Amino acid sequence: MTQRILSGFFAALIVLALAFALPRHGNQAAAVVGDNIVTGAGAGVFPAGASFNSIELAGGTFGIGAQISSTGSADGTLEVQFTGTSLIGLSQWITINGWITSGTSNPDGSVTLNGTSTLDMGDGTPPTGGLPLVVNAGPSGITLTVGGTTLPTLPKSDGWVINE
Amino acid sequence: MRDNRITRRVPRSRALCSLAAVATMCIAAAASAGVVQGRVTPGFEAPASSQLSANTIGLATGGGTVTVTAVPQNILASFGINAKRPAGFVQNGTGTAQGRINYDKHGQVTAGRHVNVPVMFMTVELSGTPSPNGTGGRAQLIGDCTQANVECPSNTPAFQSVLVYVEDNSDTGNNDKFQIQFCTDPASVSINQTTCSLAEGGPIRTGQIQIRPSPSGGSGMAPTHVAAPRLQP
Repeated sequence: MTQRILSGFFAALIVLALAFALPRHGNQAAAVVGDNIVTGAGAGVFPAGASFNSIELAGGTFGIGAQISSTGSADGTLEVQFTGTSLIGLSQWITINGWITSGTSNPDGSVTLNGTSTLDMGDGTPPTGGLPLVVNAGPSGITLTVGGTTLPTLPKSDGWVINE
Repeated sequence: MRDNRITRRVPRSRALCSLAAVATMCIAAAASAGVVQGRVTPGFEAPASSQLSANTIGLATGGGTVTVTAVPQNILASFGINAKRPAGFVQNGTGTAQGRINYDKHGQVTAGRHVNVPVMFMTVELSGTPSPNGTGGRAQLIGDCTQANVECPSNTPAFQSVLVYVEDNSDTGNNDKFQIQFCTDPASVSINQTTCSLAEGGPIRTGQIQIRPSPSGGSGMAPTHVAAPRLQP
């Protein structure tokens, strides 16, 4: 009878030990975030003739921070601001804010990031949100596809896009 | 008589054991479900009081621009940041982290425009009231200027570390914060801030900071950002 009672206690102890051990293990696994880190900050100058929504583009700046996991899901953000001139000659700043949700590393060292974005044309109209976003970023520059429209590639002349 | 007492006690003990086993199994199942959902229990990760902790597990990402106060006119600077805990991270107060800090001033500045350093240490505080996307909090990232292939502003004595402080106060980037300082103290989790330069940056101009307890698994709805400021640098 005593053996039965003891075995019951031991079984309960084992279950209790597992209950404490499993969450700790899980939290340690959560620290392993992903396989790729994409960081960037810089600027570039568009070649002559680059335009978007009738705005003649001159140059732009960018800031990127994204972490891609081995499953292809990603977390991070991207901000790009293009400077340009409107049809009536006014200076205009176009701002794209992206919320990154997936990504892949490409064989050429660049990355493709996907998510949704907000487009602010900088002309006083309210920003448009919820636009699908595709970003191709690499050492040579950044190409954005916002809401299905591919913008001219911003060649990187200053700063970095680092995929590690 | 004695036998009767024993036989009465034994079933009671067995019943208690069974109840204990069932209770612990329920606790274990609940805890495991939290792990599966990627839930981070504040009791395990975050300190009871709200403060930056070298032990808190979290990750920080961000990209955008800040205005740097300068004479004769302010300068626009872009930033990109990444920080996470390394695999096998041990919560022993050392605050080890990995990631990168990129910072690029766009004004007509001849020197000290570039920062490109790896993140070595991080302290994090997760928000007690995260956004619907599960983000919010603040973090301090410490980068190392002494490694190979890094860029830091020149100084005498030489800057050895970069201290970045970020706040994630909203999903739209509104009220988020980015500040950067350069320090002559070597990179460590308890960097001596008296050796650091004045902070550059502040509330971010465009972009956003994201601080979260764990990878979201690709979820999250991008909110519509506020209109970018019309001010030109």
